[in-house]
Amino acid sequence: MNRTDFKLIFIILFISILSLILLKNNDLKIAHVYYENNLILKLPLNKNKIYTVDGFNGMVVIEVKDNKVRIIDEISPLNICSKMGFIKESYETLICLPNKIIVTIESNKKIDTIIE
Amino acid sequence: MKYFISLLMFFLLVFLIYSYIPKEYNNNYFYMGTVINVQIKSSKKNISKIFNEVDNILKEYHQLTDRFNEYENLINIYTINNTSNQLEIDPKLYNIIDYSLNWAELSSGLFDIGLGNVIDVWKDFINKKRELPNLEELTKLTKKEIKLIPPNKIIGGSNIELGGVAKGYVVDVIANYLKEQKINDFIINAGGQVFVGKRNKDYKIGIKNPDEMGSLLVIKGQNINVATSGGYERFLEYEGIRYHHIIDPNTLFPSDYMQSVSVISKEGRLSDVLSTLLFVMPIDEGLKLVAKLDDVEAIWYDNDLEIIKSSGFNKYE
Repeated sequence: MNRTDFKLIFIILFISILSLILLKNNDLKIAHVYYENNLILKLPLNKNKIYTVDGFNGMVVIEVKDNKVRIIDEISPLNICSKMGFIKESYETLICLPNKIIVTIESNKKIDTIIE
Repeated sequence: MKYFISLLMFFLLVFLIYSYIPKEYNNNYFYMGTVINVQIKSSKKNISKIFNEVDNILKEYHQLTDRFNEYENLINIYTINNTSNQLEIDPKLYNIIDYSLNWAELSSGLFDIGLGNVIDVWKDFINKKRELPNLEELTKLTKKEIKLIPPNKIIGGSNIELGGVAKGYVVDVIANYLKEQKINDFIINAGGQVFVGKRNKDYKIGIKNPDEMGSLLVIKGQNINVATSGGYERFLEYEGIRYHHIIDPNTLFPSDYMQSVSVISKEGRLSDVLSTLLFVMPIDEGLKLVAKLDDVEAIWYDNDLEIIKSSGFNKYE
């Protein structure tokens, strides 16, 4: 191996480390909406907007507002997930059991899991 | 040419290293009236097979412990509760009931898996489907004792409800299965019940403060199970009193000694049973019980939201 090889290796290593650092510092929170195990929607929390997705019983209406997310309408016997209100931290989850819809928040997580 | 080969070697090396870096996988299951989330980190390639097997385990335990539905060719809690015959049951189900009855005896009946109908009445009340129940009516709903006949039989006609033990039990079964498959870095979250595996740094498990949204108490550890019992998630406020569905077997009314209690132990079944048991006990008695048990710690939020910890709790902070 000559000097050019080392230069090349060095450049590749530098780029990969730099990209790792840059990717890690991305602080934007994104809400992930799952139907059973399928990720069906990603909602950036920095943009206020109302979304609708198809749940098991019909339409589920999700609102993003001021970096928080909540469910505002769905069809279920007890409407537990609409009553849960807003979530904003990565350890919080909205679960609509009858509609099989789960909303989680992805970000640089400090806590691995939470007991509900 | 030399240049090209060295570049190729480099990428090959990167690729090789990359394929051995453990990756994170995540799966949700809908059983036992809740969402069970399993996260694993592994460099194995057959993860979908493992997730399928977890599904089989959960489905089997879900059906065995189901008290509302019957299934073809299966003797489950529904079958047991709705017959007066003697039945031969699956050893898995036998073991859960046996484990529960042992704790019932150890706690002089304070851990009670025979309150199914009473819990149903309270759930209906919380969901505004009926009037406030009275003691006379509730007493009539408590049925005869649960009796196992070793090695694998039970006498039917009782009123079994395994809500205080089944999730903890199945979480243990899954954790053991994952360890057998050499997957040690995992988090199983079964709603009120978390089992974490082993890795190079501690897992951080958040426990919710019962009243304030967002405030968390963090437990750190490995190879532990945490279970929480609380009356704050689903309740009904009626004439100034909060009603939830964890029932004190002595009064047949919702227990009101505390807001919530969380138990840390090495086993899901133990944490689950103890959190249910401690919830229907005065806190000072619970502290004495926890002190007697090895490898068990607990934390209480009393009715004024003051935190009370067992003596060895600080090793998880």
